[in-house]
Amino acid sequence: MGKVRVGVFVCHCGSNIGGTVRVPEVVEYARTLPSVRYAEHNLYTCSDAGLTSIKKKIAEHGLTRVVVASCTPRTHEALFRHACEEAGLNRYLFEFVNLREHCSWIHMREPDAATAKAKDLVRMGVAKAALLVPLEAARAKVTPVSLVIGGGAAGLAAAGSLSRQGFQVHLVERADMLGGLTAGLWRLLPGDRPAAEVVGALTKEVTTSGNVQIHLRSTIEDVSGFIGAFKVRLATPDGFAELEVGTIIVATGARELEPLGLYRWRELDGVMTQLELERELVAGRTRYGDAVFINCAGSREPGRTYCGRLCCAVAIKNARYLKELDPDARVTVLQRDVMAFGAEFEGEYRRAMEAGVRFVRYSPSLLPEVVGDASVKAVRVHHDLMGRDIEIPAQVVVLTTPLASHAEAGDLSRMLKVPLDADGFFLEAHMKLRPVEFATDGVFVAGAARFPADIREAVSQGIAAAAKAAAPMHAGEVIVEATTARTDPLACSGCGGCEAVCPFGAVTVEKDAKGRPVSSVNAVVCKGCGACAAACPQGAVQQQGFTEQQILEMVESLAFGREEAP
Amino acid sequence: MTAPFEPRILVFACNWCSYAGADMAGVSRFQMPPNCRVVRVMCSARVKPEQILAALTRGIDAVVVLGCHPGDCHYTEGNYHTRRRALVLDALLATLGVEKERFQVRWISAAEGAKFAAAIREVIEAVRDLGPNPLGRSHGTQAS
Amino acid sequence: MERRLREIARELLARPGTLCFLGWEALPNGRGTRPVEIRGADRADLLVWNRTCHANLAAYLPRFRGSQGSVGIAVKGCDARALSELVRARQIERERLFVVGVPCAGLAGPDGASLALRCHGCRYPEGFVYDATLGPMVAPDLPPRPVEDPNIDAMTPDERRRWFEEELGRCIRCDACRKACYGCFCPECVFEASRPRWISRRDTVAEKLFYHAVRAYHLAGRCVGCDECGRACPAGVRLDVLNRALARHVEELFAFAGAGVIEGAVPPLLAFTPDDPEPYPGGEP
Repeated sequence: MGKVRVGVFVCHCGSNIGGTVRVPEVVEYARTLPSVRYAEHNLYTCSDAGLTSIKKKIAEHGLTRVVVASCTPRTHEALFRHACEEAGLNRYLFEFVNLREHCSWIHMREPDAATAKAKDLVRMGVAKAALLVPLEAARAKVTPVSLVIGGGAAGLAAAGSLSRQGFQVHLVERADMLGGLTAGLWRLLPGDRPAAEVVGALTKEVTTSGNVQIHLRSTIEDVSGFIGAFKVRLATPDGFAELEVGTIIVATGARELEPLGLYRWRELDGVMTQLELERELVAGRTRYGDAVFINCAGSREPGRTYCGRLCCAVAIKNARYLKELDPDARVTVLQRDVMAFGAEFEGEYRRAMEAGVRFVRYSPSLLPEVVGDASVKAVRVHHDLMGRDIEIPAQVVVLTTPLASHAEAGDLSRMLKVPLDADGFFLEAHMKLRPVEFATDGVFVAGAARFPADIREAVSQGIAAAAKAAAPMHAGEVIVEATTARTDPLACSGCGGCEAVCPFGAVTVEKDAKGRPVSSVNAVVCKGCGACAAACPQGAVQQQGFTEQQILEMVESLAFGREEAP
Repeated sequence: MTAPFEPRILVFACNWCSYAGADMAGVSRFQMPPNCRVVRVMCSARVKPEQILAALTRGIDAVVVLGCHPGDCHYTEGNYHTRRRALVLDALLATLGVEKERFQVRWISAAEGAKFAAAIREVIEAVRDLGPNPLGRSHGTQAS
Repeated sequence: MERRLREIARELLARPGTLCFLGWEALPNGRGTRPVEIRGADRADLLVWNRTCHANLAAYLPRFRGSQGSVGIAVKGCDARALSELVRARQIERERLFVVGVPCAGLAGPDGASLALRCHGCRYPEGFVYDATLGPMVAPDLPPRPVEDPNIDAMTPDERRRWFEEELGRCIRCDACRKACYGCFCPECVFEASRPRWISRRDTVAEKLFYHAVRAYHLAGRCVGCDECGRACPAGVRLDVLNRALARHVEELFAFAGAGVIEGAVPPLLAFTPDDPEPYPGGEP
């Protein structure tokens, strides 16, 4: 193991940490800890300057373990591990202490307590770091085949991009045609291009390239394995198919929210959603009569607080189309703030107004009322600016509903072991730094599956996800996390507890040369959960990087390190 | 006049769900009392009752184990084992007369920052009311 | 029955390939029995069977791990449960054993006359196949345990804690309970490991509580209630109270028949169902 010389690097993170925690004090404290041979603070440890400093100090002070006390390991662990490696240290001789999300940000009004807590956390981190040993990660081959789930704009863009890069792609779509939500649309902004054109262009790439195998009317039944070697079971019209893929892109999109119980939809003739309107336009209907659009139908309210982002643009677009189809018709859009961002949409907003579409603002506390017996007659609304109720005659009411997550996202999330957010959309690893990846390696996300996205965003994200997926497939192998389990055969009694609890069958008990049953772990199959280590009464099975000794040392350093109140 | 008792609480959080949930609470700036110290594990199934018993007999006032919701474990089954072990540990602690609030299991997903914050506040308050962990007395870490 | 036992042992030991026969012999002072490992057929006459044969002979089986040769062993109902559990835990192969079932109607208490406390609520394994029996292996109909002394269920949590602190505080950390227990067969006990050092030799109540709590947890779902731990304890610590209470909880929580009762049944801590109850504080899972 060599000499243990720990270096501690405490981060100010601008004022994110330093504004609450007295960082220099924490550094002073770190210097008093056993095994610590060097400690410093940095404004931004993740910056070039910070990383350079770490590498320099490792060399200058002969450091053999590094502790960085800054933000969450979920952002920069890989970055700092890499820096250690560049300085000649095994990447697993690095420990991360979270002083931001778990300290400064949640105790903003208590600098004394936050500083005391920071000291505790650093002490615990150093205690563990002192016990870290170099680990060699296993390498796993990556199958250069990708699975794209969903054949809408995002999926098509991703599949097209991957196939252009020379990778085989399985594109799985549960409907009987490609195109997703876009396929049902009439015309698109900007330029009023027919949606079929865009769908056609995206689909062409995918159907003409030899690299994409398209599975229509198919769904995912089961997924197992890990990055580089996923095993996927498809349910197709011809029975089950088993695929072996290296990466997976989730592009399952979203659904238009059904305005059940809102504004007498499905109750009165003439009340329809935007998608239903687009379908009528595609079918060739040109006469609608007076139309009232009701925006924010089902969004920005308790139970669904998010804004649908693109539906205002859709309403503005379709309102103008109706007005252009029939200039004598009265077209009104009831809105609660118009989300028309950027030059293009702001321009479209103006264009709609110039075409004669009227925009009336309503307040969420006084919702519009749709009036009619068998079919729509009018809409009553409290005109927010005028301050009085008005009644607008209408033969058609179009409800602008947001995109919502698919109910089936839950099944897919469990199969792929990726999380959903509170609204049921897939949750990416990091909003800013890893927007198209999941925390689970090898699985990526693009398009409306993540949050309501327009076609441009869906295509961009599809291409981005394809780029991310291509990296490991291009490299041909990935380094599997080395924090796998290992058995000490001398301490093992062969009782089989570890074998019984392993979710992946990575642990087996077999007779050794002396005929004694002893457990052993397959490091490639092992995912590093540690269930076996916890099941072993003796501690013969250990999880590297999270050993019994390391954890107990952290617990003891918390229990005995400081006597004062937190 | 001695300072009012503030419990010292150890929290085990699993990397994929509950640690991320705790991060989310931080990102959202949900403020909490500063009594908890989080130890990161890859899965709640890594946590052994022996570690929890060690913490409690060494004077830590309470231990909380956080994991993914059953059914959503990143390692498919890990938290089911956590749950069973916790049930047995609950029974053991109850037999020994240790207050049940001193060991808790909570399921927190990556998006549940608010739930994390609420759970932490709840635990801290409950344990503060209980007073110092009597088991730690003979280790010399607590005034009797 | 004693005569028959000696006959069986003699026959077995005469066969080539038999390592030994585990049974009980009379104590030299005549006040009870102790385990004996008989290697020669001529010594089979040492074997006895009476109400003082408390020792759980199954505890000696793990030492045969990795060796060759068959082993004969006399077991009462409780011992057979322990044996069954050891076979499941791969500590000994069933094929290597010649199991002689001894129908026990209850062991003597400390005064030599009454029933040993541990025998109340006696349970034999179900459907266990013995290689020979000295009579029908059916659990005797013994009266249920008298109101627990102490009745820890009737205590408040605080009273319980004080009771255990006092009781376990008597422990002198001699590890006899561990040595006597059939279920403690780890080549190197977790408490002997130096990395990590879970426990020190300091004479504090906290250390003793930790030791016994961990041992109880390790035995959860495996304790057969033989009370060898209590019998071995030189300080007279009532270890049976903790281990029996936990065994009862485990059986209730998971509808578990009990350690070694159903052959091959996986102990509850090594299994799970998606519908297990929620630990404290509960709420939606």
